[in-house]
Amino acid sequence: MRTHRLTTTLVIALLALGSDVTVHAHHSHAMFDLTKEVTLTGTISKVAFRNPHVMVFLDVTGSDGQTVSWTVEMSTVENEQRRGLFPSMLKPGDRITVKLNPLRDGRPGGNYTSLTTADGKTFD
Amino acid sequence: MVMSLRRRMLVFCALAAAGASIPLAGQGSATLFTTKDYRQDRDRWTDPAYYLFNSARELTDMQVDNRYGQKGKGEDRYQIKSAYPFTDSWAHYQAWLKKANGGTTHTIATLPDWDGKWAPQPTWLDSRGIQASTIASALTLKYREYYVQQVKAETEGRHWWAAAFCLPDGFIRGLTRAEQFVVRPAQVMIVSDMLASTQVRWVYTNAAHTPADKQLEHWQGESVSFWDGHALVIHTNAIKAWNATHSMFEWSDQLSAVERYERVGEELVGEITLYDPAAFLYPVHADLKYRRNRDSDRMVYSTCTDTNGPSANIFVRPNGITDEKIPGDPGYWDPTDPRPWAKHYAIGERTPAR
Repeated sequence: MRTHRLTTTLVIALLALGSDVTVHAHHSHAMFDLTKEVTLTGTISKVAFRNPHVMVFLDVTGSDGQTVSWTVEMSTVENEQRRGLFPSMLKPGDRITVKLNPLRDGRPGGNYTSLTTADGKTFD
Repeated sequence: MVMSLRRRMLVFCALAAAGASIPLAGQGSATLFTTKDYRQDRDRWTDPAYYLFNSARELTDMQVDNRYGQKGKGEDRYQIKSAYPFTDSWAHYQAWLKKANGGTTHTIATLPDWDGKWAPQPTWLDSRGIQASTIASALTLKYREYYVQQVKAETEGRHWWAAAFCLPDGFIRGLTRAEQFVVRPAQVMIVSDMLASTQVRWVYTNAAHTPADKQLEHWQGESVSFWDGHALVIHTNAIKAWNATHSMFEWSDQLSAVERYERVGEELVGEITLYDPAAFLYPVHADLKYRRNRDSDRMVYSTCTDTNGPSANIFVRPNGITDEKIPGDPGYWDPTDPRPWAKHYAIGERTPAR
């Protein structure tokens, strides 16, 4: 199951870093469909690199030429920095790729599972 | 831990005396996932099989992990009943004060070095590694029913987590998140910046509690302490009644606690005994441990509203499922707006107050 793989990956990553930090969730993830993963490539419009969640707003243009603004929810500032992701790496205008578990009701938002920055580094 | 026959009979008699409905024969095989009415399953609430041997955390994560109704790993690593002979926290604290010959008076030069940032280590208070039935067994019937109601909701994804709505996590979850212990002769400040908001707990040394008739309930309670050599012993009361959520438990305004912390090498080793005659059948105990955080020595000042807005972006649907607003939804709070007050002022300018 994807969540278990993600959790396992995170645990392994934390162990590799020698981390002693317990990871806590801030709010329920019941609004996200963890059985689905959507891949989006688009342009960052805004970033809120803050707690309790880092939020990235991504303009994605579909095959019909329409641009949709997606809300991408990430983890905490501490967790993202521990993974090596810092505010300077997510700037408006950057073209990035995000994989996320979408909101169950179809609105354009979701909880990220991985993010690849403009220079090709992937964080998950 | 399964309720003894004697205990079941006592509960049965108490329920009968209270005019409560008694579980009928045939409901004994119900589980939390098959029951038609969990309130009728009182005799099953302390049976690990009722929860299909899931830990509290497994139950909380069940819906989002897409494993609703599946059997758990059966983890139950903790003995939570206090082994101390005390029945109230103040007697406990006073006994340890007497044993410490009235406590140690430190100067700033003689205080232990607890500087730096610490990383909380696993404890059953964070809901991992403990069967839900073990927690239920420690609770009075009233709080046990509250507990089962909460656990059932969480298994179905109907989480109600205080921090999600920018409310304080409360005393119990605060314990599992302490990161700095700022030690001074007259007080110790325990600081956390994990996730939702930066929290401070003040622990006054060699001080008395505010008289009961003047006390005010606090999210972190009111803490007084003494030093036993280089060990800090804390008594806390006036704790606001709240809910640890995450398939844990609620507590009443009668909750009080005794803690003890001491540095052992690169660890702060602690323990807590919780007393709440309204919520617990007996005092409960947890070991606490904090290790040097090797990732960072800096705190991140956080408020829940930094991205959630003033209790707006995260909300509960009518079906009890937590949801969140995104741009375009009514009432959405834009966390990237650097001058949110300007929008507020502009609304007033368009619609004069008078």
